[in-house]
Amino acid sequence: MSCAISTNQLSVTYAGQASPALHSVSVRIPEGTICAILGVTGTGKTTLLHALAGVLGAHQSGASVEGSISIGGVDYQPVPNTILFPTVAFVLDDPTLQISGMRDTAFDEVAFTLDNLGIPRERHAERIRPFLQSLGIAHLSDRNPTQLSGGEAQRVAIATMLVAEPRILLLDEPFSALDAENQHKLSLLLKDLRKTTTIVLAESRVDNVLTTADHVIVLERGRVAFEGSHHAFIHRIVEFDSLLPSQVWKETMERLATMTDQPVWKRIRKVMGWTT
Amino acid sequence: MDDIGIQADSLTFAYPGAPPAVQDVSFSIRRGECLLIVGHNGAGKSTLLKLLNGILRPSSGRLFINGEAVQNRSVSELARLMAVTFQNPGDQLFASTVRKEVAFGPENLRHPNADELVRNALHALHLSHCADEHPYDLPLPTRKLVTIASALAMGTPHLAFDEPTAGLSHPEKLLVAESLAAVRNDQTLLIVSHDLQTFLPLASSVLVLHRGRVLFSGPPQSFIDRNHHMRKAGVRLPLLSRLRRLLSLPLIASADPTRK
Repeated sequence: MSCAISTNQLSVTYAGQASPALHSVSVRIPEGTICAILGVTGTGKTTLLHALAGVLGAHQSGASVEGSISIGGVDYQPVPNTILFPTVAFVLDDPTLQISGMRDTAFDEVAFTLDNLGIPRERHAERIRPFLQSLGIAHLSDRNPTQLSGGEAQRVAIATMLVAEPRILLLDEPFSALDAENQHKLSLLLKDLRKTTTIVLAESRVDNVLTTADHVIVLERGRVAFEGSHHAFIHRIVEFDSLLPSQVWKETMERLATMTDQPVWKRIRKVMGWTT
Repeated sequence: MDDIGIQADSLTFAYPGAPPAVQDVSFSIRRGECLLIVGHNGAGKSTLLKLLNGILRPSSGRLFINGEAVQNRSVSELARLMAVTFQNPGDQLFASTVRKEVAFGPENLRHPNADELVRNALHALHLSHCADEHPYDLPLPTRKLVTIASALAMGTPHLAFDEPTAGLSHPEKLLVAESLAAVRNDQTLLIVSHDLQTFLPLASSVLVLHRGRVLFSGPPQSFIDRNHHMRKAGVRLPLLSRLRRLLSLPLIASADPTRK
């Protein structure tokens, strides 16, 4: 079962830094949604993901952390310094860091997760295959996972996490390395996963997440600049022009925001793939 | 007729024992224009490019470059007229450094300003910092940029690319789009790609291939207006274009200056 996530006055300051990476961040991510954390580079997106995954300490020793987080109704104060896997699974922005390099095939790389969870070998294939299928990487099963292209390796990395059936899946910049076709496939897959998994993804560009996210959080210099539904975000989107890829995007979003009570909005929602 | 850069006249080609991979394909592009070729895998796009650079010879039909029939010219003669890059960088990288790789074409063609062409191409694709590295020490996307720089450095009047942005990240795609946009007015561009978001704004015309034949040929706007062509060609209209259509905004903004 998926579960809700919240943070309460979460502040993180890395050792030797004067200003906090996150500053009193209080957000509430509803269960079974896809939440996009948007912001330019260095604005705290990855720090927030690290806090939710319980890996703040693993990545930055000596960080000072205040506030609390809550996962599935369980409060964690202080913020946990232990990896919350498999409740929470984390896909890094660089998949090559995630692939162990200790297994010879992509299939075995995914099976490595199940080994670690103590799931007997004879049950591996039935559990792994559906994920390889839906991620479009079944044909890569026998390939060496360290010799895949960026997009392929990323999908293998996602499979290694999904196969653990986490309640929460965190992804750091999952769309940036993918071409349009694979972005679309990943978006459909994430939407399917909502039934069982709450998904939080960090991205620096709006266009990558507009058709995927239900819930949007914008971070600016470690503070929450916006939090709300994708629908509410449409009305505020042009305020964050560093997140828009071009002037044409900005012009399009400006027009879009004036159309939310027009008859055409229904068709726009369809193009956006918004069902919620 | 004088300014026709490339003209294909009923080009047909069949691999041995197979139905024609390219059948009766005709198009023409003027100097300084950009033709975007789209179609499903196996629609004949890559075969068409190989016919253009002489690796394959048409079984019938004619090909004109700068008004001259060239279907019987040698591969090296054709290379002076058109640089072609293929989808997989592994098929064409062989030199021991990025700089040598990029310099191979213009030096072979004995370009008087080869050094300048190489320097500009490396600069355009942000490869100057790794010019002395071995291409195979670089990540795959960077190797892809090396092949594109190699084509640009040839200084040929015509350029053809097969899926130049496949496997690239967004910033890398922008780099490729900007590099090609910069040469567009001087050189004829022929781009095979599924990446409409990147290349539709560059294209002056679109050719849709389906099972080796031309399904559609015309300006980008009429291509977009005909959804069924896009579906048959296996391409999706980018989100931005779909939204702009619903919002009654012009579909293709000729210039979409990108933020850094």
